[in-house]
Amino acid sequence: MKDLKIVSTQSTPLIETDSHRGVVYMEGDSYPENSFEFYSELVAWVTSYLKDNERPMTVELALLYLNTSSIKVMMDIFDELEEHHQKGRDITVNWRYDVDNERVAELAEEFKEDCSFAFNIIGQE
Amino acid sequence: MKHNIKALEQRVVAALEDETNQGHPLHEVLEALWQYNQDQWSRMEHLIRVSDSYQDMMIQREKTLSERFDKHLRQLDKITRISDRYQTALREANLELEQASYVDALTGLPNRRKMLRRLKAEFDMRPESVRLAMIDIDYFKRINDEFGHLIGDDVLVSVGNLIELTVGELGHISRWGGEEFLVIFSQPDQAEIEACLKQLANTIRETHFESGDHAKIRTTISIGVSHYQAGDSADTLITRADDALYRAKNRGRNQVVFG
Repeated sequence: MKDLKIVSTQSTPLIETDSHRGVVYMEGDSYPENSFEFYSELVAWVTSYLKDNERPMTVELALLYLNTSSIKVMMDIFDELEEHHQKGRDITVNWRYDVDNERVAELAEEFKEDCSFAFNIIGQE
Repeated sequence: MKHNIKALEQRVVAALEDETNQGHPLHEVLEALWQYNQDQWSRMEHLIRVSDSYQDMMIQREKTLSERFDKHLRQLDKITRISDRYQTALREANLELEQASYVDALTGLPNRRKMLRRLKAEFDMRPESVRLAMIDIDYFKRINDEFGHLIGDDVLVSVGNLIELTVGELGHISRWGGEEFLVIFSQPDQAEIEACLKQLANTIRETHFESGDHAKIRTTISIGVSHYQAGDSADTLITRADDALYRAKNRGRNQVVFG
């Protein structure tokens, strides 16, 4: 399975995947001009990882600001994770934020609302 | 009529089974009619079963569609909520940045940028009453050299506070750069401004600034003042205040010069 390594830009986050460890890593701001196109590879990777095996999956996030279509993409990914979690898959999301920016934590809480898998919001100094 | 159908059926069955009716010319016709009737019933039941399952399917489909619709509505609601909060957070961050971009980080006073905006606004409203005072701490470099930059910074902050306190409601103060402060007065009474600036020079001269050890720091300020003249722009007004300040320095510092 081909892993992703997308470097960050001023308007798009860094995206890395590790299919051996079952990890997705994202960091930065997300304001792509076309979010659905920008995230299509990641969405395909997640779907295919979840289809191909039964192993656990961890999503490591250090996202700051997201535009509306990025929010939609993240919610779709969380919905897909939730679906697989309901079928017994081990899923973890770790959303890290700078303690100086409490707003990020509040927004992560909004995303967490409908998720029954482990969703940790971790403040960092 | 419907409630009689069972009884009628029983009568037909009984008539067909009755030994005495066997061989009767109508027996065969009745039997054929009975059979036909039975077939129609079973077709009807089949039709009802199929129709029922179609209805079931439609109800199921409608339920699925409405569940999906509800799910999308909930999702839309949530996206809107999160998006609004992001926008609010950005707006707040913007406002904070905007505020910060108008404030001098060391003294907390309005900075040069803010001052230029204010000057432009005053100029647009009532240019003829605008007066500027350019204030510079005398021999400030010596304080930095002798006591270090941290103490020098403290003196800057203290002088800034004293100017702000003394000027009060008469004008607006800003840190113009280095050890220079610019005050804009929109007060037509020259005598009052003169008195204020002389008092300011006295206050600074008499203040003992903290040096960090036992020795207290003493300093003075030089002030150049300019007043609007016909044809002035904000720039020429600033330049004349600068020139007046230069003359105050040349005349031995520790004084106010009106340009």
